[in-house]
Amino acid sequence: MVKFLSVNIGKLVNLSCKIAGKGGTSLPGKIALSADPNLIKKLISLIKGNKVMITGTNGKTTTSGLIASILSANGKKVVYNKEGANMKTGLATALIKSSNFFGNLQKDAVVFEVDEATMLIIIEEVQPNIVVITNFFRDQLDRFGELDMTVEKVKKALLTLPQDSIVLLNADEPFTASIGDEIKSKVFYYGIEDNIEGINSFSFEQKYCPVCGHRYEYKRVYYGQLGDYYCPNCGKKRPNPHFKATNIFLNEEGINFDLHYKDKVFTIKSKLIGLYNVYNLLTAISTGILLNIEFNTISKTVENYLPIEGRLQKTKIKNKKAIINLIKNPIGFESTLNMLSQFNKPLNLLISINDNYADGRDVSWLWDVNLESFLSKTKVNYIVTSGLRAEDMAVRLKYAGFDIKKIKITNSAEKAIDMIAELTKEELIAILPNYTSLYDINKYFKIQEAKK
Amino acid sequence: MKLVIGHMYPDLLNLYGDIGNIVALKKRCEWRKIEVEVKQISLDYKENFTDIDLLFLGGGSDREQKIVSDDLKNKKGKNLKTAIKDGLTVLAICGGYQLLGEYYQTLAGSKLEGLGVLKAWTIGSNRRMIGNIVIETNVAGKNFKMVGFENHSGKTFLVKMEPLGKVIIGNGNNGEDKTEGCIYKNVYGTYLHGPVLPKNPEFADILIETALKRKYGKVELTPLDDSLEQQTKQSLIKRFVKK
Ligand SMILES: [Zn+2]
Repeated sequence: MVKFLSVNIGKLVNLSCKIAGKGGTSLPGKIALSADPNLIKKLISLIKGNKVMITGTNGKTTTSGLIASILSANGKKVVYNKEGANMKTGLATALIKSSNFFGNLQKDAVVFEVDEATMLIIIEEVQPNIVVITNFFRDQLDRFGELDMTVEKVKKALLTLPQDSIVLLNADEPFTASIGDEIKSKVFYYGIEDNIEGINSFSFEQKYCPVCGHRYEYKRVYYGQLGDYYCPNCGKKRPNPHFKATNIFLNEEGINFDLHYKDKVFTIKSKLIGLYNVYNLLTAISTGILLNIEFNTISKTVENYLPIEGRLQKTKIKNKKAIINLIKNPIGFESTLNMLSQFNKPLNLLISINDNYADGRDVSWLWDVNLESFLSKTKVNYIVTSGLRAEDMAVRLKYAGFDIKKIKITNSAEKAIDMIAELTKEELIAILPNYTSLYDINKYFKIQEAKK
Repeated sequence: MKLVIGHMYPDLLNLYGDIGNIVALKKRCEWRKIEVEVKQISLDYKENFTDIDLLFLGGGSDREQKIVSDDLKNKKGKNLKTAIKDGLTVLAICGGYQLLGEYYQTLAGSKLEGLGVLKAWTIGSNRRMIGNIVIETNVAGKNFKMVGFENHSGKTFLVKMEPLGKVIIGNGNNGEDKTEGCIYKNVYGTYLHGPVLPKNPEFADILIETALKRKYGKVELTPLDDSLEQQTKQSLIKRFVKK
């Protein structure tokens, strides 16, 4: 019996997308949803328990990848939108791919990363057991309007959750933590308690005390506006986290830290790099613990977990060492630069900036990145700028004090990669594309792969 | 020579890479060996603007604009108006621009009072005017095009005031009368983000020159090599202005 004809239509589209060589991360879902607008709700209702939703500006994709792996290691068959297509159509596509031709969803857990702006709709359809929020930063502003509005939207969505659902919030990020004061669900917090050196950042988002309106002050800043904050006027402060990371150790090979929950201390090891991945790990592990998964299963999964494509991915261009990392907003860009300068090696950079819809049309955010600080403490020999906004990026570098004779500009990703390889001798190549540029860069590598 | 830039409410009005305008002003002075100082002017500022040559105001969220509006009304407004009448150079973008006008009326009907130096008023609309914008302008006897990115839902209408330019692509002040921005004495209001100054170096230099002239009399700026900035501007104009 064919339960949902629309699933069937979607699967056919998925198949034809594969044949046509396109990724098909949202088209099958788009077509199936037009055949049946209630498709997501119908398919999801077949799953009881283990429904996790992740939202926030940065860290969604890595966190949801980790959570999905933890659930899989626990023996669950997980449906998860791993291609990062996090609008409604992307979710429908993930579900269709996990269903058979009879419209039966052959899974027993859901991990969805969801766009902040679509939370309200998706919560209604998915009815998650746990909602995880990573942080709020300015991102793709021309699509969402202002940060306050984004936070309000998410809060409104969370208010529709049943009271027995769990909401896991970042205690160190004042916008995210403030949501916990106003919702009816069971709220848990996670946070860092360590005297590790923070990232000197332009993109500090001043937060005002929600009780009295006074400006928050900080005892410690980790990155952006994340840290240990308090209101000097009325005494409101960062909530005390249920899950804490201490004894953090970072280098280019990975991360170690201790995770405290109740009276227990767990040792965490990971191959992921950089301070912001401590948050991703902390978030995912806390979710695993809240889902009552055994700690050994969690820690083994985390230890073996490798970064996903374009997220600190190591590769080679013409036998030269390269690292690719997606940059999509000021804080992501800054943390990547910070990590690169920690390597203490000469670098060549390829920065590729598009302004397609998915990237955000406005590239003003490039000026919110503290390139000045990075360039003053890091040896960078050449920078190739590429993408539709290659010139804008070059102007940014000029005003950050970089020698314009060492900037090469091309709009083509392919030419840019050839150029950077040509210019490189001993340097480590860092390729930093924004969202749709990553697609252009990956295409280049796929073509190279096929030629072999 | 020394240029003192006042960055107004950097902690409240700091949307969309506005900091890039300060960076551009600073760099273009440094390249000419003109000394620069940037003063942060926020709620706790006690002077009367006579210590400032060039004032910059960016955009902010609604709540932040309310705080600024109150501070202008109750504390800084009088001194700032006097300085502007005396010829202080001001660049005000988006929310900062709206705040220099008479008032901002939100869609819901509430009124936020402005400084009133520009005979302009802004009314909220339910359509966000968002996207790339190209204007043609004639400032300080120079005719040139400017590129930027606008993102506002407020519609601004000028009352017998000179606009900064004419819209070629985009919405400008209100999406209706093809005007963009406003000029009054040495005050320049605009909706152009991008940020506006690095990609429109002619405009940046007009601001620097105007500010220094007020302080030192006759000033001539050393020309700089702006070929990268011009290349960027031209490539954007070529992309957005369909012939
Ligand atoms: Zn307070």
